[in-house]
Amino acid sequence: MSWSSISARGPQARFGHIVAFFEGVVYVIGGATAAGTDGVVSVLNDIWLYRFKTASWERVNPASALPPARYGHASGIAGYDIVIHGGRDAQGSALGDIWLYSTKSKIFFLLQFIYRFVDSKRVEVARQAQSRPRASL
Amino acid sequence: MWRSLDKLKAVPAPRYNHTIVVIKSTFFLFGGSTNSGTLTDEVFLIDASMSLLFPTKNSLQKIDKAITEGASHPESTDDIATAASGAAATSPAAGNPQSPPLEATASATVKEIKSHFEAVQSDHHHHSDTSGQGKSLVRPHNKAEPLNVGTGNSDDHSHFSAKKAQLEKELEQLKASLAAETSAR
Repeated sequence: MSWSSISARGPQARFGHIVAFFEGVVYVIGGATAAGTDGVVSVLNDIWLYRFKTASWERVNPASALPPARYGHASGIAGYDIVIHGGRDAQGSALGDIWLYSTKSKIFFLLQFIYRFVDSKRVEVARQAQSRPRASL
Repeated sequence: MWRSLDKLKAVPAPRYNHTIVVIKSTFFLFGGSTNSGTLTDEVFLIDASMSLLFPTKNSLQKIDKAITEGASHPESTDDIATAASGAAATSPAAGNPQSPPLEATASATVKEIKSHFEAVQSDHHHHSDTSGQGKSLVRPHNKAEPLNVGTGNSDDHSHFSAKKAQLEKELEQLKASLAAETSAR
């Protein structure tokens, strides 16, 4: 077993991104570029996919607005969706939002869990998803 | 719904450099750093057996029940927290020194997961649309009225025997991982 290198042009150098594997495709979302001389990292919110079949990278243009740029986030797959949680923004602040990227519709949704307390017990009242249209070009 | 091994934590506080692993249909969120730079060993579980956005009919009935019961306790209606805002929910029990030992909490969590899985398994009117096409993604949410459970699509009953077997297997794996987590402390 050995590593093999891919020559196809892909996303820029980064760290703190997430990768998710779904239906023969690797998704890369977000991350940050190496700190410059001023110590400031450039935080990313782009989304790329790598297809094993064609050994090629493709930058995805989602059908909705993208989540705020972040690095150090975590992700998992639920159904056809990639779920992203938390991370750090450009100022280094920790994030607690949950985003869902539908690989089918290419739409990012902000997930909200609404709770209330009933007799000291936490009860989920509703879940809702919001997406914003992509800014007009 | 998020389940925390620490029952007082409603939703994961904002964090980074944490991990999420999906064990079959359960998200297992572990660790990370919070804004103060503090490392945390918290574990949160969330069920995504259908989709994060499609609660089952049974879970909706529980919600309806809770809302109905909550209506007779108006003092509790203001405690609403949204995970997306990152606002940690303020549990009335917060700061309770009587919090149960982790081991007991973990087994209680397993029990809750099991009962939820059983509910999923017996739920013939679940929302089967996981296509993510957007039209039905947003669930109505109105505190004043019971949520509309809806009839859903029931043409895939055979799905459930397979689902049951899968969930039972999954439960055993979860028990094992929780036992490992507990004994690691």
